[in-house]
Amino acid sequence: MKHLTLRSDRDGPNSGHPIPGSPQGACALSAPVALVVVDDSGTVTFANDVFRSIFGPDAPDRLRFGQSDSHHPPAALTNENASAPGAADRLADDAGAMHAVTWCRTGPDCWTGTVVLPGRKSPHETSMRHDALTGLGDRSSLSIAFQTLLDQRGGADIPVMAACVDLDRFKRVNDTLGHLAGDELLRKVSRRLVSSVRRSDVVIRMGGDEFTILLEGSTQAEVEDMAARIIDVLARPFVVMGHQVIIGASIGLAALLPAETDPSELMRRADVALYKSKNSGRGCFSWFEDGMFAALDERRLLEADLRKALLLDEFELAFQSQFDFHTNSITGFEALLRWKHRDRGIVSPADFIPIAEETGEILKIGAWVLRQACQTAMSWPDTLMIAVNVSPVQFEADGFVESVLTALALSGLAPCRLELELTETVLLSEDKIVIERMGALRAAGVKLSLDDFGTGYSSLNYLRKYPFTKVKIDQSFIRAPAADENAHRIVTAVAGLGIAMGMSVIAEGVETEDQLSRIRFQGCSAAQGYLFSRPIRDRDVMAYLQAAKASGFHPQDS
Amino acid sequence: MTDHHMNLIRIVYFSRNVAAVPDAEMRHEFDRILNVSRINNARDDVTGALMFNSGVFGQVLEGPSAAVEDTFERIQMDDRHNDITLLDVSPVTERGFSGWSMGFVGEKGLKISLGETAAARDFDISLLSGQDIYRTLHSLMLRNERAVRVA
Repeated sequence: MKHLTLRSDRDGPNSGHPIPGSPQGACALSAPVALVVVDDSGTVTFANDVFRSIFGPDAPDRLRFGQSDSHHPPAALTNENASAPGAADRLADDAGAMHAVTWCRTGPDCWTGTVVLPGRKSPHETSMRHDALTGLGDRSSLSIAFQTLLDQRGGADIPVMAACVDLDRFKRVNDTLGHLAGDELLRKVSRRLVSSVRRSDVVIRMGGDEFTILLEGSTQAEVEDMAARIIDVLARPFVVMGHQVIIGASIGLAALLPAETDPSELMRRADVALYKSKNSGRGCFSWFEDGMFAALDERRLLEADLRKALLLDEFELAFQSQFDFHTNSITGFEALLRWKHRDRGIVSPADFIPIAEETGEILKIGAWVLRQACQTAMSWPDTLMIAVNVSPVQFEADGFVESVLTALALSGLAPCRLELELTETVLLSEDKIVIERMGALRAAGVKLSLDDFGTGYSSLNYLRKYPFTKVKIDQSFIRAPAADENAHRIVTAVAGLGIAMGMSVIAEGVETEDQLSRIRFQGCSAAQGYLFSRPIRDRDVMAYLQAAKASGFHPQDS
Repeated sequence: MTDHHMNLIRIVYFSRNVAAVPDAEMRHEFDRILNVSRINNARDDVTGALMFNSGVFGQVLEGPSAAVEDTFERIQMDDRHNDITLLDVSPVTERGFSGWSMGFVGEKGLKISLGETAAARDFDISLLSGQDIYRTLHSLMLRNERAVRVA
């Protein structure tokens, strides 16, 4: 990011030169910029010292502006030659010289004008630039907006805060409805943002679907109210080019430290807080906290280690049996991924899968799991199934179906012995592609199960709409206390429905005899869990099968 | 008003009035909203109708897509209309409420049209689909049109 350092004329007459080797780097420059804030009625509500020094101390009262609105900046009315082309965008100083004003919409009912002094930096380097799409200030205007706030606040005790707003699911809108719709949505988002903040707050579009709001003089509670309101209004439906669109927003919040005069560190803190919001499920706000940078560093290390894990052969698969009530036998195993890090020990999939999904590493890891699982299953009796989890990122990627078929071909495993476990997140992608891919896999003979059913939306319609062969009821339902009647009613209903639709219904996480007898009574056709077996290593599978067979497949004795 | 070559859309939604205000005040506020929306809609070439029963509004807006979208944005940001559920957005070839900048059917209108039955009193707008709201409003507006215009 390019930094602009602005100084008021209090810094002395020679402050308008670039400072070689300044701490902000080679592109930092320093130039006085005259700032004026005019509300929609045409009243000047603020002018900085530079502005007063050019246009005179009485300028805020002397200069007159026309009415403005969100689309039309205020026109200067005091020019002698007011009807000349472009005159409305120029202001006369004390000596009668004309200066061009660049206007930027900076609040629900106000505009900020910037005037660059002649002979100084070129306007595009020092004035607030509009973002052409939304009319908000753009990324390069952040420093000027920040300086305006510092100038306005008059005392160091008044807090300055920054909010980084990032839209959730925006990319999907661009991908499915096209860039024109994406642009139109950004315009609507900008308007909702501007009407959700106070007039003294500044909304800037940083680029893409990222916005920054600078606030001065707000308490922490007020900033939180604003953040909650923004999350609320951006979650309300939009109508964009004839389509209903639902997005959301995640927000990171940070406060300016007493000695800080530059926005870059403030923005960095707000950004890392935003990162936390995005990782805590989105649609929420987080304040910057000490330790966030350390957590981020730790994550970067984990990310780097994850990239090396395949090469270092640190992954392995464990297998957990699935027991069928009708045949009273073990029908297959689910392959579970393990990461054994040389120093960290076992890293939980809950910790590394999200990172692998975010970095795209999941594609390589997922392909390895598929190949490895198919190959392992080839050494088992050929009646046994192998179930493999598929990440939504993997499923969405180009060439997914091909990678499955390749794993089958390389191992020689019959496609009907492979079952892919999909979570409902997969189903939230573009429907045409989902149906096409699921159809291609089913046509090849591969089985599909709907994993973690009962969490998320869990629309019963999924069972009708997509060609699943099995539904896995989430373990939270199986482990629900006996008194949680609704949980058990749901299991009964899903089991009844699934079986009526010709699917197998398997209960996950079965740990006790009580749970087992309950799910059998509720109509589930199969079960998986510690009661039958912990996940075991490949080399222990045959011994486990023999022991299970010898004990008449009674889970308790296995 | 000619709608030829225009990109017409229709949106249907319902919203709950969550502000607990006394009936008389509510009526006054309601009349004000209705008046403002009639003025705005006439200016923007937006037509539509609104029904109200037991604290729930069902509303249809139709017109050039940009104008309908702007109107919807204005309503979305209006705190009096929070908790909006958008039921339907679809392109249409002609208007159903041509000539009504904002037709209105209140509790009384619903009672007259549906009869003084328990069904009318308990008529729950939020249980209707977009098509249901459109059809109900459309038939009620047509039925009431003569009476209103004669009156």
